[in-house]
Amino acid sequence: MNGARTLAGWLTDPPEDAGLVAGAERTRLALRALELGLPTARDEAWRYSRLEGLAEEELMLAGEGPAPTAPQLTALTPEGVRVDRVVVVNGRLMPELCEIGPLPAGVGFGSLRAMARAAQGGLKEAADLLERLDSLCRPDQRMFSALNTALAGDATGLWVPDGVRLERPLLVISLVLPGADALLTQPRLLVVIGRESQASVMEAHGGFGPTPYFCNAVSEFQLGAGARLEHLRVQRDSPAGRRVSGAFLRVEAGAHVRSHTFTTGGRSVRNEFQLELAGAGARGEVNGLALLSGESVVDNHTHVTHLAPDCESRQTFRSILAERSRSVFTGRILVARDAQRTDAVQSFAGLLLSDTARALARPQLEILADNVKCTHGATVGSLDPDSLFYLRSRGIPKALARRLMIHAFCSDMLGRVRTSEMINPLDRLVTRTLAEQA
Amino acid sequence: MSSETQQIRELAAQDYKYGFTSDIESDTIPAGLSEEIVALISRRKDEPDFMLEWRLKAYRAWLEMSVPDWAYLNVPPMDFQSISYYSAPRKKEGPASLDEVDPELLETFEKLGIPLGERARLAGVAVDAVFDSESVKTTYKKELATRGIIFCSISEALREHPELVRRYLGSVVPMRDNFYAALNTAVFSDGSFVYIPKGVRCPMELSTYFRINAAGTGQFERTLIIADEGSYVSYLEGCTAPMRDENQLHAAVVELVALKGASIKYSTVQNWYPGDREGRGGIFNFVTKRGLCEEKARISWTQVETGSAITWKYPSCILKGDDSVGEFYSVALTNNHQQADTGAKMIHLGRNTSSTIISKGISAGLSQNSYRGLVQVGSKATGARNHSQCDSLLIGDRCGAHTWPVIDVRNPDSVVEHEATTSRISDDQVFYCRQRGIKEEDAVSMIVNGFCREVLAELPMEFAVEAQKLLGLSLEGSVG
Repeated sequence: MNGARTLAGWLTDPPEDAGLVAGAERTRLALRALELGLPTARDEAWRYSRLEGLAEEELMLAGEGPAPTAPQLTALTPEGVRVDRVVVVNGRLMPELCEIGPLPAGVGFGSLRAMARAAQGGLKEAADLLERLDSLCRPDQRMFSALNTALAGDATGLWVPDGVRLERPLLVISLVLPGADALLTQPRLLVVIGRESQASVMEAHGGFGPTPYFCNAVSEFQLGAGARLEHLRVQRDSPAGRRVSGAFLRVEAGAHVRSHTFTTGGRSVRNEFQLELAGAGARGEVNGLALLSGESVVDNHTHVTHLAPDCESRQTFRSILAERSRSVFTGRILVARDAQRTDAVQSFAGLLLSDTARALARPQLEILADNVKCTHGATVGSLDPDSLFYLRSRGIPKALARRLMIHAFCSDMLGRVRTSEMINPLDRLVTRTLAEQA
Repeated sequence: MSSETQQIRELAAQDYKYGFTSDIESDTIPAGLSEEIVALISRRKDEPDFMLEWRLKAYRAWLEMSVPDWAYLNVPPMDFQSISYYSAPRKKEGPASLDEVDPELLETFEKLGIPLGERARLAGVAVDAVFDSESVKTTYKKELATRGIIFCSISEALREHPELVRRYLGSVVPMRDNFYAALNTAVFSDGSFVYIPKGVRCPMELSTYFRINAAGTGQFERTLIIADEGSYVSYLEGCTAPMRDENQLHAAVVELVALKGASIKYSTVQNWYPGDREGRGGIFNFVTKRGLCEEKARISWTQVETGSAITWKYPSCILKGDDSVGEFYSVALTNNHQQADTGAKMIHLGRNTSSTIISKGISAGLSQNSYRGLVQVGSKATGARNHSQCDSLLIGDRCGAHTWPVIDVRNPDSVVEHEATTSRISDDQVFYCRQRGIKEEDAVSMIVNGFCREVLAELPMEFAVEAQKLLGLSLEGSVG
């Protein structure tokens, strides 16, 4: 086991077994990450993310971690529902905890390293999947993507061939369980859904304990023509944890993707979404709900690009901010010249529950085609005193009335989830988080 | 297109042949910028010592600043050493009376409904020759003076009311505010000064048109308006005809101070030369406009922007006092190769402050039109309220419309709403109008005017009529 080093230290001399690519390509990406460097407060797009001091911090590169306790696992697993799951602890896949049932022919789900071995053994699907690694997350321009590819221990891969409908949701549980030393972990997910196929994938991220950690997650999704995907992501970080997570989605003609992210804490969480509507009639939905208290900061960045005509995109973000928490939403819709008849909607609503909470919204439209319908809206406010009074006048105590109203504010987001097995667990998560914060 | 509109279009597109011919050399100082030049400007204007110090400080600050590059604009690099920073007062060799002016130009004025006196000024006629400006000037000056209102050029104010100017100049837009504001502070040549005493309601709309010396104030204009407690003033700024100007760069600063219970309404119709159809020439308009509201004060910005090759302008309200109100109504129209990056800033500091932003952007041709704004609610601004609405209209498939609002809320008991839409004139709307015998261009003009109605309604009556016609004229040739 190596000792703790700074990010730059790991990148200059990466350990042998780290990285998702081999040899020269890994060296190139590590150098590229060094060259791009960590963003500073002077970078407009990163002004509000709390990454200060990260460059100097001595971190352990995640490796073998302790076995998670049952509550740590169940906290993120829907109860009473049969799912196929992969469990990753500190960036390593834990085969003994994975439960993968019989999957339809041609579907691959599991460790990307194992798939790489299968590809060497001549499995065409595995080779096809590996080929798509890094095709969306722009490692040459985005430091965190290069860092992930160069240093990640393993990744989870999902390959769904053309015309396959997956009945059960797939779950990827990714836990950070730091010991005494601060930790660097890099979960990675690569999903390729074939033409006319359908799947539902949930990423459950959790961080535990008082030790600081930095989690750099990258997820890439490619949808073939006519495919359907629902992507759910739950992030429960400890107050010592910092996270940068990127979701990169590319949607071909007639395909639909829905992506929902639930964030419930962390010292600083940055969620980046890149949605490319690449084929005519594609549809993409990106939703985010953040329930924050303490000193937590969530920084949501979306970048939706309409490249083809007749596409539709929806972005809905809600933040509930208690105590000294802070939420940033920077949403961008870019409509390319050829993307006629685009229909794009973006909305952010912030609910401030304390005098010291803060919400910042920067909804942006960049439109180069003329036949488009684009709207964005942003509102920030507090609980409506009249509604609160109404509930109290019916004998509901103030604290409960507040919670009811906050829950109602969230239910709009829960209502957007289509994977029925997941709605109840998510609702429980919201209820529990609200109770904890109250 | 009818022959009439064709004619106007050609007229609007042709080179400007009249007026503003040459400056008498002795009035223009050599090109370039240095401490000596700044001192020279201050000396020529016979300014008090504190002004020279202030200008020099601003100049030194400016040297350390760099040209802002964050806007969605493609600004060609400018050589600040090749500009002559003082060229006023100008002596012009123009036509002696309106009779000598090209009748076609007069017809354009007629179309726009420009008042007779202003027509002469715009055509470059020395106004005194055709229009008894002295009498107008003295009549209104006398009336204003009886109420204690001061309305004069800023140089005059510096000579006659240095204590007022010293107290407020630079108090809203500090010299280090931005690159262009610093430049303006160092070299501004002239501008307007208004002071409305306590409890006085200014009986007339004050306008740069009334003040003859405002015509030549050139590229670095400085405006300072102070409305003392409980007073009201409506100020009109702008030029309302297709005026040409040899100056490439305009960097003006406007400061408004609304003391307790005062109200300032500031209206602008800006139609500087936008450059030709190929995007050659045209004015670069970099303006810093900001107002400070004390308790229960109100500042309202209304602007119709159809000119300039590049517009960079973000009128702002600092709502410092409790119960103060800020408003911003804007129509920005860009055509051909024009670029506009404009919007509003509302900084809520006091309690129960409210602000409204209504912005309408219209892009046609190959133009790029951006709304960029900030709504900030400070932690003490309990009960603050903001409503922003930014609508964009696209005409043609090669233009761009962009929106970059920033909303920063640090107080829970505040409500901030932002809405934006982007759309185009639908074929159905145009078809409906044409079916009823309305020409396509008229239909478009009508639809655009409907789109801007909320903003035009905020303009003083005579300005509104002009602005409507201006919108139609600026869109000539962009459809069909």
